[in-house]
Amino acid sequence: MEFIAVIIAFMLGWGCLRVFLIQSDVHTIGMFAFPAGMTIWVLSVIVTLILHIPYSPWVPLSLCMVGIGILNRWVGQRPRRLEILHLVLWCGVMVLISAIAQHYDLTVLTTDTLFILSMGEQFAQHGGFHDGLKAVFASFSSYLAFVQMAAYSLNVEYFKSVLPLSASSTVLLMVWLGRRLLLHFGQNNLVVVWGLPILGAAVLVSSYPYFWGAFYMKTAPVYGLMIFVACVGAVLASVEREPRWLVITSLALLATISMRLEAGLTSLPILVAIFSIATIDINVRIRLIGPISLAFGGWYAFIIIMTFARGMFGVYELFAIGVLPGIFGVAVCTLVLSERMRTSLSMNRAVMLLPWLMVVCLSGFIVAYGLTHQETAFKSLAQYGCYLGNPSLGATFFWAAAVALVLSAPFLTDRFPGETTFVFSIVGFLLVLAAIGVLTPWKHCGTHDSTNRILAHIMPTVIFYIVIKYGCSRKPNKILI
Amino acid sequence: MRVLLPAIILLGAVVANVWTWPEIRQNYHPLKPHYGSALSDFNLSFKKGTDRSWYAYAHIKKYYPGWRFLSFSQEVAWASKMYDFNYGGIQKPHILNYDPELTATEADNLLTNSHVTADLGRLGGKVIIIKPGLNAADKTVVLLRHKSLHFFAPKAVVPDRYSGL
Repeated sequence: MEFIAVIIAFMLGWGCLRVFLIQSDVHTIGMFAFPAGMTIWVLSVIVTLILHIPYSPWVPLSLCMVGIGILNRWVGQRPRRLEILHLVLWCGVMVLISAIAQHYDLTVLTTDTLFILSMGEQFAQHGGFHDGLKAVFASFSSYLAFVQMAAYSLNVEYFKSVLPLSASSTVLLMVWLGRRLLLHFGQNNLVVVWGLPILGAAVLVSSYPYFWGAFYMKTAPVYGLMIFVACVGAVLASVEREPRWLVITSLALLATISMRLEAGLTSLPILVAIFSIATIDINVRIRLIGPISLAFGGWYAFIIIMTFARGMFGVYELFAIGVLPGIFGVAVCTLVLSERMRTSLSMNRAVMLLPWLMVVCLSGFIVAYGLTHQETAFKSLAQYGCYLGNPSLGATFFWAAAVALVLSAPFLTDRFPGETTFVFSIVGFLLVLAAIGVLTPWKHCGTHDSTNRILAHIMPTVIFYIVIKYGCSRKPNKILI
Repeated sequence: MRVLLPAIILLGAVVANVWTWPEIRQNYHPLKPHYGSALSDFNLSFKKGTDRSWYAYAHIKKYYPGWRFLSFSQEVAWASKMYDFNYGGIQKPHILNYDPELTATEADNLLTNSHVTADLGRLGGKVIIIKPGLNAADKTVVLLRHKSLHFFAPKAVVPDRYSGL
């Protein structure tokens, strides 16, 4: 039955993505269709829960199918034979990966994941919220629970191939989109165009924290994929002057809403970085980032309303996590009101400075908190050092290679268009992580410390950035592939 | 140099990563094939628990799917008190005002039925899950108590004084 779910998710993703990207890149659609479909399902479940419609799998599924049907009817083109061939091919690839993952069933479970799986099961069983779910809902991320609701409806214990499929999509997209960007940036050496992204993907997969996370029933490979896709989609939209790429950015950012309870904080730097891309029309940026940021704020408001003062996370923590992207969304949306503000030079300059402001604020917070709570802060940062510095914990060689290459880059490479999107997303994410770290007195050096595990979320974006940074030629290629 | 340097460093990272895998694996939860039994294996490994027993959770889900659940207190009916979390599979508990205390003989009688046992530190004792018969007509499970034993018992096998529930 899991194959049916994979095929349905793939078809939902394909049905949505084809409307916007079928003329741009059919293979990207194939590689991203499954995670995109999974996200569309999750967003539909969220709508069902928010509207308090009693859950039955047909409700979110109908919502997805009606939405995608309308989209295709109004905006999409009729499918051609070649597209159907690609659809069958990529669907077959995903089913094959799913079959391998199901056969070997390398799932890693902990007691946290049992809560997540059981939360999904009980949502489906009871048709929505009940009192016995509130504290768990306010303590664990719900993305996988919403995905696993479908498993319960299909009488499957839980989906085993969701995470390996997401990790596989990451690797495939890294190679394919790496090739696309390198060709666009004028790199004509095919060994470099294919070899460097493949090498980057190999580094990612061979890093044990990432590899292991691809089977650990939490959201690490999906979150990593979505951050990576959000950044690359925005950069492609910017450098190819093709706003349609932003559809994958939007889906990826919306997907992160329910992936971690601290997602409001860790996704904010990416929202800020994308909002400051000057080469995308300000109106497009406002329409993209404003509603997504407001959706973050709305989601946390919903969690607080439904679970007031329950769960591991306190009301104030949830409020603080949700209010930041919410305020950012309000600020972005206010720009809609005034055309003069949108087009004024000083406003555009201010928007361009936002990522710098974010870096300064986050660094300032870390330093200020570190000085006032020296013992906790230094102990936490030392634990990061311990985790990254101990080769037997698996992260050392990835991050050592990344740091060495990033430090060498200014002497060997030039800047490439869209680079700041990657840089500010990565730096912002790492600073948010450091800020969470210094606030966490129980942080430890081990492989299962959540702030150490979260580092794996940014690994695909980091390695992809390095690949593009070193692989691109000095002369951008004007001919698009 | 521009491409060779990252190629060499990235290749070195791959080799170093793979080289150290055997040592690294020791520090993570084991990644081994389960062939469809990861969840049940994991549940069965949690027979004892301070706040919750996933072993009890799994068996209640298995034996009482969709059953009505009667309890004398919400506190003891939680699967996890730490997260105010219900047992799965079974319905939400209906809290009723009844005397759950069994006599020693009644408890012994219940234990003659086929059952599974899990330790639950929060309740200061054991949870006994009485397996229902194959054709149980009344799909109601009643939570009863004898000293530190907490019984999840199908209504068909509980003492007659609970038949009015």
